[in-house]
Amino acid sequence: MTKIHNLYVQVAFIIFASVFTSLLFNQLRNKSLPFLRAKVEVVSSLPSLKVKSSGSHITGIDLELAKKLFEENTLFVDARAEEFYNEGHIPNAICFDDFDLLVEKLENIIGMDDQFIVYCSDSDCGSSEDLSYELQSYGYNNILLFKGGWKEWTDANLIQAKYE
Amino acid sequence: MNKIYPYFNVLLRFIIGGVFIWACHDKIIDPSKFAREISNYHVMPFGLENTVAIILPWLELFIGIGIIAGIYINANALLSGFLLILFNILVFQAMVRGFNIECGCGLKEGQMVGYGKLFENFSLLLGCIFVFKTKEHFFYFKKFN
Repeated sequence: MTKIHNLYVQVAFIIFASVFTSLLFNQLRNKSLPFLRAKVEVVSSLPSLKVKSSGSHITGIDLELAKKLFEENTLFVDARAEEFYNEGHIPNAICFDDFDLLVEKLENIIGMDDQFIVYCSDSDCGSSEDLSYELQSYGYNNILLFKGGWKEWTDANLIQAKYE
Repeated sequence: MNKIYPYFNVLLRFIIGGVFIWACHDKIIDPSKFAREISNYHVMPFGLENTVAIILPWLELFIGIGIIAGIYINANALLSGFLLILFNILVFQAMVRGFNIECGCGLKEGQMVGYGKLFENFSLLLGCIFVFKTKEHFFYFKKFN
């Protein structure tokens, strides 16, 4: 076998081997990941919500729809840390740092097909999206993501609750 | 002192390689979660988070195996050093922009960006520099160096 002496050729070889193996592995795995990430589509009306979240797709909702669903008593799940939840949250939202405790609570109040909304601090935080996908993997298939989160809710001066 | 150097070098290679292999494990199993963690940094354009999430863990694995097994040691030390600098830039920009996010490093569940992470990466970077600068290696494949 020919020895590769040049450092940069060795670096290029390692990168090439990694890229080749990763692409091959991704193609061979059951749920291969697309190369480009789809952004969460934010909808503002109810008819589009007939489509349940499935696969790697989660539907985002805007403030108006979040408000409407809140008035219809849809459950909200706060994906922030309990510390921030205690300082203020959307009324009747639930929050648990522990995923198992959250799932236990959800199982007690809603079914796998029931709709609920997940939110976190603002559109820059990723915890609501992470939690949505985790809950989806667990079996919940009607999850909505309120992208604007707590910041948009408070900026709009909507009703807030604090931990008593 | 010089007699200890090769052994210290091997120890560092095992630590750096071990960290890289450990870090890539969860990312290879669940690349979509890793892609979301990359997305939280808000630096990737055009939805390229997925592409990075597919390739980067494997690069970490190859570096980890190579540096431990003694295959292309200098090239692996160079690559790992480059990655650690890149990780620190990403963590630092997230801190400056006020993102309180999980680092997505794959080492510890729920590890957040912060000075601890910067220090951790910087320590490993020093290790990479030491390995790269070492002239005589011990426990390595002569054929692949």
